[in-house]
Amino acid sequence: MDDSDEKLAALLNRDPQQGYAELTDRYLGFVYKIAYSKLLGTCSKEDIEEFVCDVFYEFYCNRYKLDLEKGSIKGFLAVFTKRRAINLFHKKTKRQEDISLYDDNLQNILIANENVEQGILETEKKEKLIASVKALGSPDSEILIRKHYLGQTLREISIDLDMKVKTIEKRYERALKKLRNGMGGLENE
Amino acid sequence: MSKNIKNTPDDIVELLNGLDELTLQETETLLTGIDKVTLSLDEELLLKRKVLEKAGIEESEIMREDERKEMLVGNPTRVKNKKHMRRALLCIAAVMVCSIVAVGASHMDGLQRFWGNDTQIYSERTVETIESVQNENIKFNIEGIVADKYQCVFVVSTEALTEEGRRIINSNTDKHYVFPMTIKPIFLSGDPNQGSSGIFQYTDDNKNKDYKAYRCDFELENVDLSQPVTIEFEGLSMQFDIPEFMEAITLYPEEEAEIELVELSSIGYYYKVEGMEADFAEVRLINQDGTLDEELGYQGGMAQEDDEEVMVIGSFTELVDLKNYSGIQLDGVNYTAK
Repeated sequence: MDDSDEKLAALLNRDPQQGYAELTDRYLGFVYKIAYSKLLGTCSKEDIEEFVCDVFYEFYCNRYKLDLEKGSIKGFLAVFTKRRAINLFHKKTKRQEDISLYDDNLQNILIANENVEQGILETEKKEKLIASVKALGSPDSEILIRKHYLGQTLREISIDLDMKVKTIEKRYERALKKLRNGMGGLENE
Repeated sequence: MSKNIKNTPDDIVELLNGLDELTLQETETLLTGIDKVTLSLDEELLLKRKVLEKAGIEESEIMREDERKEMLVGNPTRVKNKKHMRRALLCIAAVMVCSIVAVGASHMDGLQRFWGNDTQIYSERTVETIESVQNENIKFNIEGIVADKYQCVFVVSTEALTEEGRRIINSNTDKHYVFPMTIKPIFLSGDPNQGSSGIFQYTDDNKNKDYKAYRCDFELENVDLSQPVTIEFEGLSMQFDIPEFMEAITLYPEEEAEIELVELSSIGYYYKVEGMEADFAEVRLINQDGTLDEELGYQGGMAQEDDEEVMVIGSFTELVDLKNYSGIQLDGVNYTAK
């Protein structure tokens, strides 16, 4: 368990408003970029902003349910935001039950990856994909994760990594090719 | 993804989309070591306000004393922004550049209200009320306009003349962004309803219930500068011509440099570089005594890209008085007027 998560959890208990502001400061970028990248084509910017507000507010209202033994605040917010954004995306096209932090069983649902539409990859393939991405090393793996999980643009990534945009572009191209070789035809399984 | 990346393997990108389906533990593994995701400052400010308001929290209640001071003075940390022309807003610092006209005692009162008690350094360069209109309840003023080719910044103020006027100027106001006032430029296509309508932010001097001043940032992209801009509030309207207030200086390098020239205004700085090699230069204004400014914030370096050139559009965190500076330094090269 991350010390900073412990401190944040304690702050949320001791001074909820300050804790909420700190939570926002730390993870606003994460939550917004994940939401934005999934919902851009189906929701207005204002709707996405409202979505982000709902994520933080639900977390705030249900903060006492968080079990840091099972995961970090960052991980929890990221997967919750991602899952909820995907569900909202599907709701736009067909009926889909939404997930909510008010559901006491939600954390277990997220851990077990239940109630998700049949994914693109099976568990084994996902593990191999994550391992392959991580094996690319820094900063290439981080570039791929920021691009494809967080939905950042290459220019935004260049800012966070303090590197030139051109460098990021070249590394990104190279990382994709290396990953393709490393996955060894997994995409065809 | 940049249009310049060729031959992106679509199958691997499709595979990476599988990262959407991760469990909590898989997400933890993936995000290990990734702790910072930066948003543009205006995005961050707007979102943070909304998120806090959702929980019924006023942002000012949370702000620490050191953050308040930092926002007033300016942060020398550069913030790199995205493609479109936007200005990040902070609480207004009491710096304003305008046409210089000696004013009478009555207007010094208005000046004092705008800037609070700190008027000493501005006594020689006071703000002239450019235009005023009024009805029985309120008076509406434009107090100072600064513009360059890309942006326009001006201050408007509203004064209550009656109790009803006080109610009007205090109602429907949001001290951060929303304000019941409209800016109506004429756009090049002739449609009056497109583009930016400006961003308002109230000044620090809004404790007086009979007087409120707002700073407005306004983009000039696609604006027809040959036509006046109309500002409306509660049935009152005024117009002004932007070109009348445009001021920018062209600066040239004192030694051989890639950047051929830099345009400098009270709002920011602008220069072109070729191709995708563009990066944000280290920027510092050069004081008149030759030293580099270390107090101002250089914020929101932005770029517009085409296939050949990149225009970098930078903003200062405060409006500056060009008389205080002899030039600007980019990546160690001094640019001054020839």
